[in-house]
Amino acid sequence: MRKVSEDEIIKTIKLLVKQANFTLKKEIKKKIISAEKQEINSDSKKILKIIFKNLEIAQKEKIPICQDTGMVEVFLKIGNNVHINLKKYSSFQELIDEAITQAYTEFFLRKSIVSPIERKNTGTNTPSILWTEIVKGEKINIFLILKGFGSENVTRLKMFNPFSRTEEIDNFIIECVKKAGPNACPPFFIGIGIGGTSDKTVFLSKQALLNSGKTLKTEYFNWEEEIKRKVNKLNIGVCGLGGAITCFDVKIKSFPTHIAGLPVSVSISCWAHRMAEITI
Amino acid sequence: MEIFTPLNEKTIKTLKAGMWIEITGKIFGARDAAHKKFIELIKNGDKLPIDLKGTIIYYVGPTPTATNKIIGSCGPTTSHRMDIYTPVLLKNGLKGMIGKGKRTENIIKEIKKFKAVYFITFGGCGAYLSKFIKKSEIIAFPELGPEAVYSLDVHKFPVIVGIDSYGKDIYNKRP
Repeated sequence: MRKVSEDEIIKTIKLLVKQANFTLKKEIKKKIISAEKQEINSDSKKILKIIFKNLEIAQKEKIPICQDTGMVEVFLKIGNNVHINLKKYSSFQELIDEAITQAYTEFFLRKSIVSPIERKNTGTNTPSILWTEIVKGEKINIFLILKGFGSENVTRLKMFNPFSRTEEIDNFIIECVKKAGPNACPPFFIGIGIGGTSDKTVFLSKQALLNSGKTLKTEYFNWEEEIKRKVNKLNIGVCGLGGAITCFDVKIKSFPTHIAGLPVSVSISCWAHRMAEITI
Repeated sequence: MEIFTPLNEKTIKTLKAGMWIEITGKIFGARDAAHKKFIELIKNGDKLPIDLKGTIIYYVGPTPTATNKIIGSCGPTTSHRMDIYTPVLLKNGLKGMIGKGKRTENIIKEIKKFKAVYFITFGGCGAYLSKFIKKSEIIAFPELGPEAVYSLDVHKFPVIVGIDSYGKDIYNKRP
């Protein structure tokens, strides 16, 4: 049994928060760079160059890429042979939230989390959203995403009939992107969840977003490319000013569902798709 | 083209949807919670913490200012959430707004009626935009944290005219 201390978890989470706020993952950056080469709309091209400049300043001067430093979502795969030794904290959630509290203060990040009705700020950017899975082994894989609400606000779920055609699903996705329009900071990364239950499908769409930028030749590869092609015909472009690039990438994640239904969910990330991953 | 605050009618008339503009002078940062407070103050006949005449409001909630910095990351937030508050502010002299994304048909009408202007700037570019801010100060509602009201001295702050005083909308032809 491998022992992991509270301190090690705190140190790791803080590192991921820092990485995600000041730099983009390589595969995300690559998508943006190749889009700039393809774009012909002059306004959109100009803004893509400003986006590069923004990334440069953020990294060099440690100014967050975006002022919406998000609600933190943490996806963990914990090996069954790992023993997380809780001493000072009464739960894993509490431990992770302590790390986030420290990181958001030390790195001068915006604390955007409030009570839902009273709108009272918690002052710590916590609680975070925690998803844990137990897997075989003695490692912990941690995937952290900063979800800004410009794009989170455009998430949608639809319960289709069992034999709905893929064109109907495509149309729903296109409608979601149109609705998100310039408000959610296009070009987008799009995650699509298909199957499961209503809650599961939204979760799947988030998991799909975590795969953004990766080259995965899944069974849905052609469908993902087809959706991307259709979305890029919308001419929304960077900041909604028109152009060839409305989305950088589409990823689908599926799960078996009930004979009576076909849930579909769409999660969108703005161009500043901030996430970080580590295995310890 | 560079323009200066406070905005006057002559300047506003020259601004057309789609133009790239640089703003120099004093602007005010305020977003959702501050807008809600503004409206309550106006309703009660109380004085606002800022003078709205010819003013530009920037929809922003910056990250905390780090040591030896003027301001944190400070890009625009989505404007349409401010749509319910905007008409009252326009009626009280507000002339410019900076944000990102679409406004409702009603706001376009109100902008035209009050000869005001809506600018957009680059979402997710808060680090870049912080470079155009020369002085920043919280001047009201500090208890709102990131939603406090900021006074910002800007120099050549880059924006694009989103909706001009003639009611032309940059997103009009877009889906």
